[in-house]
Amino acid sequence: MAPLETKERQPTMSKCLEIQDLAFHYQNTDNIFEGINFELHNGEILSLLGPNGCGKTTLLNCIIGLCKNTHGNIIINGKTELTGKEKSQALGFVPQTMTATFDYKVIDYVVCGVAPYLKMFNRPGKCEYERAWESLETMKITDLAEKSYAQISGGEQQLVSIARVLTQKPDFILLDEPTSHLDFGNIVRTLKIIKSMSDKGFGIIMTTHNPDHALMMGGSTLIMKDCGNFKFGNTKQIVTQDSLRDLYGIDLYLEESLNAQRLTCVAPKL
Amino acid sequence: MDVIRSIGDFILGKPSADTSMDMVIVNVRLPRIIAAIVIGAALSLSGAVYQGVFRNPLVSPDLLGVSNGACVGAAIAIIFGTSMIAQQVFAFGFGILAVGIAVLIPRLVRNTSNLMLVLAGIITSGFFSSIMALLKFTASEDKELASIVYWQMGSLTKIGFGDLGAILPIVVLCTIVLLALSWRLNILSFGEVEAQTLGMNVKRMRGIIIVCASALTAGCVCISGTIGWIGLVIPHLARLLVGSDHRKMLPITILLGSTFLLVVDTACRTISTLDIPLSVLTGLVGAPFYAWLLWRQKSANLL
Repeated sequence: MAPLETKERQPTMSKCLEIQDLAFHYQNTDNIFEGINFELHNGEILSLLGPNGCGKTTLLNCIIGLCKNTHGNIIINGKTELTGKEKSQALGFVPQTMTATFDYKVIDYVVCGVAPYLKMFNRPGKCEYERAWESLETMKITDLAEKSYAQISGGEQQLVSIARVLTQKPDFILLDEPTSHLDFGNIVRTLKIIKSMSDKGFGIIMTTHNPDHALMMGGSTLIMKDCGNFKFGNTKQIVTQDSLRDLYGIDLYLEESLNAQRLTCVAPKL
Repeated sequence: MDVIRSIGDFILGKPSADTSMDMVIVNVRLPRIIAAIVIGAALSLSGAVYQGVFRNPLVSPDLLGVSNGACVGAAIAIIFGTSMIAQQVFAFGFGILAVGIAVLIPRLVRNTSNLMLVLAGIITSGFFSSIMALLKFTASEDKELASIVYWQMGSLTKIGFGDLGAILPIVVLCTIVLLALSWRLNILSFGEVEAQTLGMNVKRMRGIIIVCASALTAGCVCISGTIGWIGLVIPHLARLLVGSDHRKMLPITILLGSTFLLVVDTACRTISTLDIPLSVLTGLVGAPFYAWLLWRQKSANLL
């Protein structure tokens, strides 16, 4: 078994992703989005806010490479043309939910994070399993290792997916609605974990339907309303009462919570 | 005892004492036994791999039309009276063609869900079985039709060492490639998005695996005819025994598949004085067995 290529972690705050004037449309349709510009540094969190159907997932798919952007540039670690292998070493993805067609042990699922570092016919060996085990330790879920992925709870599955992306050791991580399908306690726990991942130097992009999550995460936010109509900037500056009312088309209030000691987003009385 | 001695003589190349018995054992029984092992293994492996690639435990090589396609290819070759090699090439080519069409349809409709794939498989199988009916209709009754019908019912009776030798390189090569890729198959079975974000060239990997699995099936069909159920049932049994991890599950599938077909073929040969066509027994045994497996898996919450 070939030893794993060890990778030097980028010094913090180096730019790992830059999006320049990005646009995408499917064949024979108008642009889903256009003119999108933003950048992400190591250790930084970017929340992606927008109503249903505004193109959040499509934007993620463009960055991943599942959709080919029709205009503009996606620059990852200073490069626009990356091979699939290079890209997967730079960029990790936590999908919304995994529908388990087949049943794998959690540890076998987590070890798949090393795939970008192995040759085509190679399999993970002892060293790779140790790395997967470390990720489970980081997430404090070593007790799940031998359980089957299909039979653990939704909250546990989310933690396992994050453990896999830790095993992948990318520079930045995309999370597609990491808190959907989770109960309130698991939502807060997951957000905490995501925040601690950014402290470790990962760049984070997460989509969310809850403006509260963007406020809790801080960092920067990309607000996508509809095609070509978006804002990017410091969360404190652009996630305001007015911008949220405009985005979701409802009354809502941003209030300082004394107990939580943070700005909260409150929906009006029904 | 005599059997073992005859086989021993054959392997060591000794001139033998009892020629007529050696004839039967070495030229009739032995190739048939080897064929049962090889074909049982290949069909099961092919089915297991299909189910992994398409993330659908209900897919079998038959469902995507590879068997029907291969039959059409073989029937065309029979009608044109070509050689054994040409028959194999035709069966192989049409098998791949059928799978290609089945995979292409969901893309054309822009719906790559598992259900759409199953439907596309039904469409392709139906289309090729219609062509098959047309070919049988046009075939001359005495010789060609008989060959075609024999083909479709599945039998190991007429397989000789020559046939085995012809398919063995394909089967061995594809089996090695698929076993070597078994861990990648795990990743592919997570779905396209996850496989891609784990650095896999999904189209290429899927292509290699489908070509190998289809080649396995096409290779078997062209010497044994269609043998149903094995490719569907055996992988389920293997998963029940050792779990879904393809690194463990594929070798077990091969083992179970070869044992199953060897037992069924022996039963076909011994139950009555006539050789019962293989597909009859694999269906009679396989269908209730599959129902039982589904019932077992329901309790394991896999479906």
